Amino acid sequence: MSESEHRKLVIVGSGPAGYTAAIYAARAELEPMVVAGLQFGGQLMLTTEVENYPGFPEGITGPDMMELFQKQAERFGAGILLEDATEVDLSERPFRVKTDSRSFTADAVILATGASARWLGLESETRLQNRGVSACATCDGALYRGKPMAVVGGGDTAMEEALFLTRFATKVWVIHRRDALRASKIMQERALANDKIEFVWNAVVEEVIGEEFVTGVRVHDRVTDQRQELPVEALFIAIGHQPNTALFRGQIELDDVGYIVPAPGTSRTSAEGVFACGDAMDPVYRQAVTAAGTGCMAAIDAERWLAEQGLA
Amino acid sequence: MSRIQVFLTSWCPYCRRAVELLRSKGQEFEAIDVEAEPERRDEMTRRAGRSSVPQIFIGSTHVGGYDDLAALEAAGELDALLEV
Repeated sequence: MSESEHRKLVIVGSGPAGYTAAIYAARAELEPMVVAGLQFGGQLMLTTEVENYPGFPEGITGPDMMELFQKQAERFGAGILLEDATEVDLSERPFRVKTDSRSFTADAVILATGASARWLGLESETRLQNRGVSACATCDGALYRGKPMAVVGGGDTAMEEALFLTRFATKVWVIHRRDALRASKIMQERALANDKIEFVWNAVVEEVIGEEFVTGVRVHDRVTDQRQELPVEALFIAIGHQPNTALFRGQIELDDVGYIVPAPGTSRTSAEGVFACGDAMDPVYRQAVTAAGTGCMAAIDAERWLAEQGLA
Repeated sequence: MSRIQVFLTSWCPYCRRAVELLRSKGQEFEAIDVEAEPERRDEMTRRAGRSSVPQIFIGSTHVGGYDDLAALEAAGELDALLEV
């Protein structure tokens, strides 16, 4: 391992939160290093059309949007490293952030590590991943053109995925464990009105069926206690997200689920000099635009803190 | 340097990540769009035993998808495979 490089600010994560923090910090001449990670671009890399980010009246694809964010951060001199942070030590200052090939010390750190899709936790689900089981309809939907498919979940992501899949699927079952959806009204209405979508209520997935590739899914109706097999060739899991904060556990305050808990109305974490933004600290809104907003807050909070410490 | 083949589609996000990661390492590769050339999709599924994209081959080694490529990189083993 080479010697540590010192930075005033290291930003961990590269979704809209991380890149917005980088844009602000770079313009404030903090010369931030963005440890972008191998999942660079964050969850937006897995979305098709972003229709609700202001300034794009025709919509824009998630990956295109993240390329623009990255370019804008680079324009002002942010460094971007496509490696995962493997170790983040927030116990003393300067803080330490390590990746495989590099090691940084930092006066301030912004945590923007986002969240990842949650899985059901079935053995058959793991075994058939990339063989018909996926957490990303955008990624894999078109591969099953002309086949029946299913989505598990009842929130906005599930509705979005189901609607997207109707472009390719002969039919899309939406398997939901309750008898009502959590999704926003507009997404519910679109999904319920779509002829290709059929809802399977009060149902849980018991097993994904298939030897080499998915050939079906067995669901259990929790109300009637009936079981049925849906003859699908692809199963998309959309049951929510888990914040990517395992590296920080025990170092800053996290809630029961693992979300970073900032001081109310700020981006300050329980460790002085450490700031948080985006989905890693937001169990409520979880939008690209709110992530960008909190990314901006984190950069401003970090800059002011560094100035107070005489480090900016 | 090993010959690299990436079976991909124009819209797939993990394909984009794979391409970006290989480019960041200064690697040249053959990109095969399995939507534009559906007959090569069968070749991919046969060689990879998987139906998802991307599927990445480095030399004679089937790496897998982007998660597999990223896991190799995270383990510090990708450079050796790329012979850089």
